[in-house]
Amino acid sequence: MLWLWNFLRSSIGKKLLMALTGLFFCSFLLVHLGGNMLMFVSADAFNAYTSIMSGAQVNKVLEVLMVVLFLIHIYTSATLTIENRAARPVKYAMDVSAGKRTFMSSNMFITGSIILIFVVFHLWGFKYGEWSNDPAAMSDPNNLTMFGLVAKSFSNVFYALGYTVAVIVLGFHLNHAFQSAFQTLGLNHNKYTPLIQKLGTLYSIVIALGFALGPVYFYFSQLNAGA
Amino acid sequence: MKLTLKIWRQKNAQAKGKLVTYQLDDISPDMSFLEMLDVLNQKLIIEGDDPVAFDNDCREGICGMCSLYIGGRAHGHETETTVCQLHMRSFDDGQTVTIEPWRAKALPVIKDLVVDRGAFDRIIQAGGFVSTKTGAPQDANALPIPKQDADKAMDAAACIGCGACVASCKNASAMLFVSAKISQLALLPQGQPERDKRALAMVHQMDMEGFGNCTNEGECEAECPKAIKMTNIARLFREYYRATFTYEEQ
Repeated sequence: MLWLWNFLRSSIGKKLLMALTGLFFCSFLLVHLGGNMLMFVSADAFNAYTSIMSGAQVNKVLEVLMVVLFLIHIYTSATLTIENRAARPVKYAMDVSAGKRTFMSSNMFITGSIILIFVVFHLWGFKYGEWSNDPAAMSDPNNLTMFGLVAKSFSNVFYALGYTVAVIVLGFHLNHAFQSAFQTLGLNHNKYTPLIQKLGTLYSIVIALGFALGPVYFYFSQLNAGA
Repeated sequence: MKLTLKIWRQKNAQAKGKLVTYQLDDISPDMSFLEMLDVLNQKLIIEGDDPVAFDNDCREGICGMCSLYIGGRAHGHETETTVCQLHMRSFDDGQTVTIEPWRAKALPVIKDLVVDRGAFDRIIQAGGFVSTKTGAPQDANALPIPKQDADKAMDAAACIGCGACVASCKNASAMLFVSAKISQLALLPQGQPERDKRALAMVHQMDMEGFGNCTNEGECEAECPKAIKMTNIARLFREYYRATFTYEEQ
């Protein structure tokens, strides 16, 4: 299996790891966003969904898989970034873009790092936060369901603002990531690449706006409720 | 035309370099950029200074020797242009122009604006060729090649190996160069016998040389004087995947 090891350590092998793990997270985000939309259906629907997601055994397996893929994505990106920086030890005194460089494409490591910090914060705040959808706990007036925790968290302006900014950064990351992943898979053709690029832009906007909807909605709805 | 030049001067590979400012008067707008540097060098020689070392050869845009980072752009600001085909008329009178060598660990500066592009040679030596007996030319059309493939191979073969792709890539990646050299052979029947071996060997050599990794930005494509497209890099990936999963080493 030396060939496989050599492949995964090659520049192109590492790129493929980035693309495949990245595309996995692209599909995960769609599922996550779908679940989030249940917030706007009803508190019960959202709580029922979060109970299933946190309870099902199959999800435990998926969680482990996701952590592994996430670590691969982070480790590979760090390795690639270190190599890329080392490849140009002396910087140009003057460096001007030929027009293809974008804010998104040139800041993938920075946006990725912000997303990493956000993910840790996000899991700590919600997944491992203090909440229970257990019917037995409902009698406790201090108990927060997942819906209640989300509503309470986003009523804080800093919390809501932080989340909104983080998901916009996520959108920037995805904007370059989506189309880049297809290029890395070797899928670049006049027939479909323009479509992939448009889909990538649409996808990144839908994800950023979709996830921003939660904090914005809950923040302003509690403002109205308070007023 | 009057010009202020800020040129990277470096005595040798080990020396520490710096940007030195030169003033030039009476530059004709019809001169090429290299002719303008010739004028500067004549002036420096008369004044007893060391002339600026820069690579050049054919001066008709096909040799790939010129390698200057002008005003922050590889081969200057014009698209699909080598430095020898860049003319002073595209600059403003009185403009300050910064001239630097390619910046990449794999293409180290030898002197002033000259870099060692031996890494490219070693990548080609690793597999960028076809092993074939030469002899009398075959009949035309003895090997049928679809026109589309011939065109794509020809477009890839336009690569002059100047290194502008490496120079303009924020990661100093050589993937556009390697992809052109792999594509020009992978698309043709003559390239088939060594196709997989070639892809593995050339990518391995590229990695050994210390180039960065492509992040699919596309600056290389935009700066390439021969308009080599990033579709070639996608083909490089496909070739490498194919070779990895199908080729049996011994």
